[in-house]
Amino acid sequence: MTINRLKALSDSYGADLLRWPADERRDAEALLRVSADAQAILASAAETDALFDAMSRAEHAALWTEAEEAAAVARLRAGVSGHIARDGVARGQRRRWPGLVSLNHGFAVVQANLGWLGLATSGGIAVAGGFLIGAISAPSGISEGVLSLLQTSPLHVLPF
Amino acid sequence: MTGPLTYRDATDEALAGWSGKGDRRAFDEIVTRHGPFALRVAARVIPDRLIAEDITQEAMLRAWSQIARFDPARAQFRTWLYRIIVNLCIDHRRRIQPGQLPEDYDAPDPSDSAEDKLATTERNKVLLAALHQLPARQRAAMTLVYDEGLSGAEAGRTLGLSAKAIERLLARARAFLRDTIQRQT
Repeated sequence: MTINRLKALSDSYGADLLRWPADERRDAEALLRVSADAQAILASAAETDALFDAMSRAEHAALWTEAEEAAAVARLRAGVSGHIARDGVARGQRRRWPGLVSLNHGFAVVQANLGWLGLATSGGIAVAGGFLIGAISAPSGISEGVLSLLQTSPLHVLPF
Repeated sequence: MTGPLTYRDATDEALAGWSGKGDRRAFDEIVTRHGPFALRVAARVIPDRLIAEDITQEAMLRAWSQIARFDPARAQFRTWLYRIIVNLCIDHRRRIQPGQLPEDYDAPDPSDSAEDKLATTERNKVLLAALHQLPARQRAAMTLVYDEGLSGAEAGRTLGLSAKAIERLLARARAFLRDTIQRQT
């Protein structure tokens, strides 16, 4: 390892070699054993690390305590499971495309109502068929207007 | 779920597979397992805890909606999930004003004297202001490597960058923070 590479790694990962890429750690340790320049570079990085430690402690105070984090995780679980159950966020659907979700819901509504649609259609066909049979079997004397489609007497013989 | 494993014992990849088939309890275990990480990262990248919680929830719902497409042959589940979370945090952070401080950033140590508390508060203000001025990607890289202990390579996979790119982000972040703090103290 060169001094330049060691400097680059310390500029990125600091003085704690455990953060350094594992495949470069051994070479760095070997260089640090023999090079005063390398040791000075690491000492400088350790000073910056101390600043970051203070920063990390300051930030930690602004984050959740252990109890607050547990409560936040509980809220997260409840929120996620609630949304999944309530909105039916299906796998493969993109939540940023609500139109697609609405379209899917629309198809579901049509599917759910197909039974009623079929029933209504069958009823309509039956009524129309009744009018047709009435027209075919109506007595010849009453042949004008809508009334001619009404059956005026019991049907004795069907023509088919 | 089938087999002798409980959800808690199952690997991330197994949970992801079950979740991909619609197993909500398996996904709940994923949320339980990775929620603390997700919340911490979000809270570090976004300086408002309530917004951080909302973003984390959005990230988890996005993970649920896409989990059937997760391919364990291409990535570790943890990396895949963390990428969704971190990228969503970065996207949000880019849309908000930088430099906003959380209202309760200076929670004091009750053992400190009044003067110590004031000094600590002022110093924390400077430190946190510097942290929150970092660009989102640099902040995310620092969080992943320094706070969460990921290697540079892992952080790179999470952010969709090379290990070299992570090194550059970290170096720029360290230089910026060091210079900012030294200028202000």
